[in-house]
Amino acid sequence: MRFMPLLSHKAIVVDTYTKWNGEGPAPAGDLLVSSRTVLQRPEILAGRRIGVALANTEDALTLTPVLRKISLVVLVFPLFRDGRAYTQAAILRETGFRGEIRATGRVLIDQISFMARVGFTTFEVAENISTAEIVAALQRYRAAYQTAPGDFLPDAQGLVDVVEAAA
Amino acid sequence: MYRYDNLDRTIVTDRVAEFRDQVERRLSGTLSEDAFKPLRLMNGLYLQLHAYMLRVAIPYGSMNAMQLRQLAMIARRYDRGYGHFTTRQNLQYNWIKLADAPDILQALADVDMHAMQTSGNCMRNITADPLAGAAADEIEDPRPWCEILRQWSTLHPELSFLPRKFKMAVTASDDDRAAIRVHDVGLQLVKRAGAFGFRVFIGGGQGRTPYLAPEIKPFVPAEDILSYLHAVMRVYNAYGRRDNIYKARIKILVAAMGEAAFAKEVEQTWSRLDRSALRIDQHAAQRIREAWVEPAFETLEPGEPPPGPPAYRRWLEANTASHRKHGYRIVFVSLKVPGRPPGDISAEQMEVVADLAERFGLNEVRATHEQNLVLPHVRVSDLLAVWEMLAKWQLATPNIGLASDIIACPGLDYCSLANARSIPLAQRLSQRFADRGNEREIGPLAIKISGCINACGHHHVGDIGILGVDKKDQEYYQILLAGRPGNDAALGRIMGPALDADATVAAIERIVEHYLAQRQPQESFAATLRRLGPLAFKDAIYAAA
Repeated sequence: MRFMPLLSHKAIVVDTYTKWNGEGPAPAGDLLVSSRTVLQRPEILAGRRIGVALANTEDALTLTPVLRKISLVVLVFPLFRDGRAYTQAAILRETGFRGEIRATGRVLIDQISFMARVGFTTFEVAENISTAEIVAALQRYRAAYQTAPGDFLPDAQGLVDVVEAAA
Repeated sequence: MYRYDNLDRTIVTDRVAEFRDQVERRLSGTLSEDAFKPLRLMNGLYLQLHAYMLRVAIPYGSMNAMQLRQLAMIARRYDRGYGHFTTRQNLQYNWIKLADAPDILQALADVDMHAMQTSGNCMRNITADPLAGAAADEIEDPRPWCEILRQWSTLHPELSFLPRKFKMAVTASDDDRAAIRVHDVGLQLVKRAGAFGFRVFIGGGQGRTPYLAPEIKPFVPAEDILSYLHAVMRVYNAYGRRDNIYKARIKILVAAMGEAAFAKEVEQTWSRLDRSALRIDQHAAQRIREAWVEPAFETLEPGEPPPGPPAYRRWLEANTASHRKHGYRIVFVSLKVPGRPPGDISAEQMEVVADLAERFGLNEVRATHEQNLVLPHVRVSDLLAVWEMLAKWQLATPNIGLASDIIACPGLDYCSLANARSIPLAQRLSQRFADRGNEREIGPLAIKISGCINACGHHHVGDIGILGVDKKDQEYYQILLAGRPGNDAALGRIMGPALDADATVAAIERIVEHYLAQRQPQESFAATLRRLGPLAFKDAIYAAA
């Protein structure tokens, strides 16, 4: 399997979640499950962190009942031109989700600033993309016309600090 | 007109830097053509049959003299000395080199312009009534609202990767000059009980499957239009088809769901949105108002244009229209010289129009979807001087709305999608009408030519529509009759088998002759068609076949 680094705005992040298909007893540790699993087996939410992988055909509002209890939502961009995950992320932020939103699939450097503006915080990118490139992409635009989910808009000053520290 | 503030300038500057970086990566090979294609499309850069084509956004068709001069400079320095105005109020350059594209975007940014979102599956440049702010019949200038819509929809992540392209048109008049019912979303600014709002039409379009947009909501308060449209876009983004590009436009979704079900879904989505976040509040409205430069109208008495030669009087009648202010008239600049490609304009001509706008036109120029230009605010007393200059530069053909004012897409001369050439057919037809010299007698007649089913030449809504088709590798043309944009919009009817170019030109002539023979006094071509029905013209079309 190809190594896909997981990058946040500022650093390479360690992925602690294990994929689980929801059958049999839940393994220990942080789990990445489907929306069906988390809604049908809410008991797994106790004692560990739960991430949910949403297909881009699913309505993000299906997660509303568990939104305060899960830590991660993994969204997917199957193709460059399929933008449904942008709306899913925006809806998650609008409905109060404050955890990690991870972009997977075709995560291209030229889209990362768009992703950040709707609330994505981590990016599963190809291995040849560096943290520095991510930071540069996030700094590309100094302004936007739309109000973004404020807390999750990368803080330009914070990013400058990272670049300077890395230099 | 809107004047950029720091926010706008920052965004276009950063956009140019981003595209420069992308082009460098493409030229160095780091970025493959496949990966680059959607990025260049988002910046208006197409790869055509012979070269790159750059489509420049002219938001709601409005520009000033400085901007038009810069467009002339770009035509001269980076193209072959001319540009082409499109049916979407944009300007296209047909002979662009990829390596020059970032410098061109910078030149646009220097005069507060851009080419963002003139292509790709995103919200495209918003079109509007070309007579906005000048027409006597509008309730308010809709362009400040258009500017708000432009800003909201520019580089919006949720509006940038839609199932398919998305086109909006706006009018503030009952006489719809923006063809709002053949757009994905058509908005009409209206006033109800003293408050502004929009009638919202959704799901119109031309192309392969033409539809007239149904009215989905009769009144959305103007300050809530962004949240309502956001709901529309979310419904489209979630449910619009992505499996077949020919079924991906919102018109297909509206037709498949049914108007009522679609409207209900939008309402539901709208009710869940935080409307206050997208409300056009005092602050937002203030920002636009502060940046808006109103033309410096003088208080004038109504008056008569200065006298002049017959050609000038003919032009006054055909190419000018009444203005909402006393002592002013709207002047159309015809880009339809008989025998020349419709919508083409040389760098020198652009500069002439820019000079006229500055000297006589309160510094405003408009592009129309009929591929002409407009000087919207000309003092009646200056009309002779304006005509003299326009006539000297072949910009005063007195044919606005007449038979030789033909709309045509670029067609197979440039476009990789086309089945047939449009421009040569337009050239032959306009030359034919000019030679006969009976355009004035024929009266209003809209001939619209598309080189393929994508309908960039609006053939569905012409009195006479012409569609280029490919028949065993030959260029053939289907004739449609009785289409109309505007208030009583209707789609043209296909008359029968396609004809080759010679037979098409002859058939159009016979259609017009048949009309002249059958019409009642004062009856327009469209009215005669309505009275007799299109089938009454079928024999004329196929007489010689």
